[in-house]
Amino acid sequence: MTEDKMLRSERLHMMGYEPPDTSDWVTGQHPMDDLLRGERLPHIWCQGCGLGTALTTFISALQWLEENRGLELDKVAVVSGIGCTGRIAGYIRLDSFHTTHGRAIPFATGLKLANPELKVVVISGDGDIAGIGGNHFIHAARRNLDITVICVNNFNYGMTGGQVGPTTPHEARAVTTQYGNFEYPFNLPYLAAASGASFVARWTVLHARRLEWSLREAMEHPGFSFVEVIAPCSTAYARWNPEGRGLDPESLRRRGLEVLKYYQQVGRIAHETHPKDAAVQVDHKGLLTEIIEGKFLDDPKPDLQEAIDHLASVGEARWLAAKKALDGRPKIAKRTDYVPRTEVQLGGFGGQGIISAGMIIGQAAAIYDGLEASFTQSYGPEARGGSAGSQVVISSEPIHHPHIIQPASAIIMSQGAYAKYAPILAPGGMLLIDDGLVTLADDHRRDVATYGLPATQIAEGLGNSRAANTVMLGFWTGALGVVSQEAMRQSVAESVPTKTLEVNMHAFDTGFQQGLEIAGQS
Amino acid sequence: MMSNDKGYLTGEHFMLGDHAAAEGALLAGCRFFAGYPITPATEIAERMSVRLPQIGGVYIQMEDELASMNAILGASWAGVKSMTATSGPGFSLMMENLGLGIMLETPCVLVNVQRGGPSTGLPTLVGQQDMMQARWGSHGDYEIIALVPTSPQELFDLTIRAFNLSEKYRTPVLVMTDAEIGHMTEKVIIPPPEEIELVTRPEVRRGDVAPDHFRIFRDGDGNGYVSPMARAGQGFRIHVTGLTHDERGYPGMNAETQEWNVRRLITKIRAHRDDIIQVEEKNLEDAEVVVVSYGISARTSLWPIELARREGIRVGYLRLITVWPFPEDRIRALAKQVRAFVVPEINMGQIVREVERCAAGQAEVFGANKPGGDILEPEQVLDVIRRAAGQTTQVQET
Amino acid sequence: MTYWRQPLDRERIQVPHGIVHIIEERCKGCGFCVEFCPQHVLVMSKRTNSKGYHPPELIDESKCVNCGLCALLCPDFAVYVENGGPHSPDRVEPVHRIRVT
Repeated sequence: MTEDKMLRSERLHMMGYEPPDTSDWVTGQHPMDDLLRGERLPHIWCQGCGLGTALTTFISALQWLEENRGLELDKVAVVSGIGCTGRIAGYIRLDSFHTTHGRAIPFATGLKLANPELKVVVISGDGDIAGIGGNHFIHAARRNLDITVICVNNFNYGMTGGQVGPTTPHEARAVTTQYGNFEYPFNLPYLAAASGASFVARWTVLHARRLEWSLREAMEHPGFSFVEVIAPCSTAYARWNPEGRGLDPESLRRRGLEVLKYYQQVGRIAHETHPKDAAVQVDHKGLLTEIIEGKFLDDPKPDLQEAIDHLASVGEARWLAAKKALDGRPKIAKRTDYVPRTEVQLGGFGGQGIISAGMIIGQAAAIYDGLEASFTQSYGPEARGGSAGSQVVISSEPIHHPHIIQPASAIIMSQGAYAKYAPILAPGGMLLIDDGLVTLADDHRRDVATYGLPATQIAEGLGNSRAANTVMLGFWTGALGVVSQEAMRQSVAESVPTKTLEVNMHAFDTGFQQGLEIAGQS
Repeated sequence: MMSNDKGYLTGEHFMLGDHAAAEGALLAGCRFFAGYPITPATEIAERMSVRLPQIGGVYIQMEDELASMNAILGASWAGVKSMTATSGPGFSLMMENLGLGIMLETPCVLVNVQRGGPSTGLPTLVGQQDMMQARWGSHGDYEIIALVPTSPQELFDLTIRAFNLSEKYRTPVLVMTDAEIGHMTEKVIIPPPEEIELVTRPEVRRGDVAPDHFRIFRDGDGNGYVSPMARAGQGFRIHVTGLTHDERGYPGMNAETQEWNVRRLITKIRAHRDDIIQVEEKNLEDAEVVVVSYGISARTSLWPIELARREGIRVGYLRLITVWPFPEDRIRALAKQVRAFVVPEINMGQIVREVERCAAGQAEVFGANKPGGDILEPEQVLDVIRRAAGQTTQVQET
Repeated sequence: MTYWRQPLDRERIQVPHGIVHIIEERCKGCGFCVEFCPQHVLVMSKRTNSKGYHPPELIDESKCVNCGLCALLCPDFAVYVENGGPHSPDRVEPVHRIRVT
């Protein structure tokens, strides 16, 4: 038959594409079929792959929980990553999410936190969970997030052909460690336990019944439960390593079986083994010599949701307090006169409240005087001691350029700020300094009106040196008259801690009086 | 100024841009935030961490930006409106999973408070250098919606609009603001919640359709149809995957499914451009030069435009509120009438390429550029306007 | 070795019994069920299914004790066991111990 005569679907089939609806799987024949997506089966896993068994044990556990513990299967969500194990999400008939490589756990975190009623299970492979997803794995364990993570460990990246992974035993061979793996693997139960998991178990797929019981327990366990499932990778890992080789030629075709028989020999059930002793043992050639199985840790502790709920109750109390403060704001009449674009530069060192001072001006102008105001700040990463600068632009019109170009006034409280900002003042502008801290240069500009008052000293005298910036604000308000006194006083009152309210209002008024005197003079 | 019982701060505030974004999100119904600290977006996370527990939402700080992006997708699939916020370096990390969000057709909002780049760059200073990345940053073919505000007030408003668009079109939406606006404090008016129009995703309810007949990506009329969404736990036993998939959500590893899938994602946005695209126009009727800009650069070009008008140059103003999808039709139409476009931006020329493409040689296109760290000076933009108008100038372009 | 007489309470011994069902078309011939059945009830057949694999077949269905391990181990959902109801055995014989190496 020539190509063009062939149907497209037949051509695709010949090329090996997964035919969407033309599989030979007849559904409804097996008791587990109602939890499988028959329209997507048979699955892609190889003959002898342990994943099919992992899936049957998982489904079996779910069915048992449904019948005996009232688990609502509609509420179960399965999240997986990329890889052969990740394909489980596509075959199971539950709400399932096949996400990106390594990111199943954060996706599951979002699902669970947004709807705590969901039972969220992450099923993914060793490379997905411990390699690219390692960071998410340890953090979810740390949080004791109430999810179950089932990590099917076949010691390599199977889907891509059998490359070495974070659980490949030392000296074992893989496609990218053909001379033997020179790295050392994770001890996954130890990693999980050390990160804070409260339930840790490991089984091989051979011990399917025990595994199923463990999965039941893990899913019922409140908090982060981790089950490592050791499974054969018949096409990749088992072809590169001795476990997959039995004695008769027939066994070379059934490597998965040979590996399972090997697990029977080297598997040792020892519950409550300390996770640090649970590493998979190998000989000097990378051949497995012992796999310890069992439930290693079962230590319920408060899970993340409990902690979040508690936090929410604290938050609600705080909201009520904030609401009270907001509702108590007075109404002040807005200004009707026209204020042209006015720029104010503030400067000092960190800790003097330069940022707060600028905010206070901006808030007074915008909220109480009904003007437009734009406030920006500049600072280094230091919290104290470094320089601090803030800028306010005030206008009756919308402010197009929110930065200072040539400020008409500046409030300067440190020598460094003086050196930096005095040069940029507009000619004819006004420079207000704390003259206890700032000494004018010999060649100080003549074209700006400079006034000083010992703000820090005054504030100390009033009882709190930190009110120095408020003194300067009062000074500025009185001297320039750009923002109204009432607006500024209200803005100061709202911005300072309640304990310092009185001293700050005194400070403002003191500065204001001085400012008025200057305004009277000029 | 009155608060209300729902936990919203109705009234007038002198508010930091980042905080305005957070408040906008809350009013839009966002009840899940997952993020990672990064200057200059950290204040959004801080505000959300304080406010969300107050109104019954969840804040979680994830271990990195990749986790943050995925967590908000998960929350959205649990039926909760969700958001994350970041800046350049985190934006890069979120790219793969932004693609996942687009592929899974998941509503969510991603705020990028842009800073100077590349790499660690200038954490505390402004940039607009991620504009192309917003469109092309994730691999594969897709369309994206990106909104760009010019003030804290607009950041508040556009965050709400971003949620509405993301819910309406079942897609992640970007709010591309910058360090200048994010860290600027200005007046923000928060209206009472009754006055705000909110959109929630089209959802299917139990009983509307049998679970095995439900199609999570139903094709509908094929012309950009937005398919109703189910959430985890509703009983529809949905399956979604980042692999190329069909209407059922099942992977289809062939060219046919890819054709259907990719065209669907693209048509969904393109077919609704008229609804999505917003621009602000001033003085275009007699314009010989049009300044095309967005974000803080649009705002700071208003003054140079005024100065240019005083010099007799007939300058118009076109502000892109939606940068993606790009308002191609508007530029194409204008290119036929005007002499030149001027595109001021705080980067080495990104959106200017789109303007050039659409102008297709029918008008000249000039950029006014600064690679980050500060907003554009009026003189610099004025100079380019003069050049665009055909005047010689003293300042050389570097 | 055989018992010199049958136990007096033989009728009270209830041994579970299972009926094994094999969905031959699904089988991929991995051999798990054959190898690990504790009662050695299954062998690989000589037949092949349409995929070319040898599905298992029962050699002595009376010996199946409904443990369900074959169904649980089968990676391809090709085996399941139906509960055949417990019965008392006609004769009780000692079971040969399986040697573990």
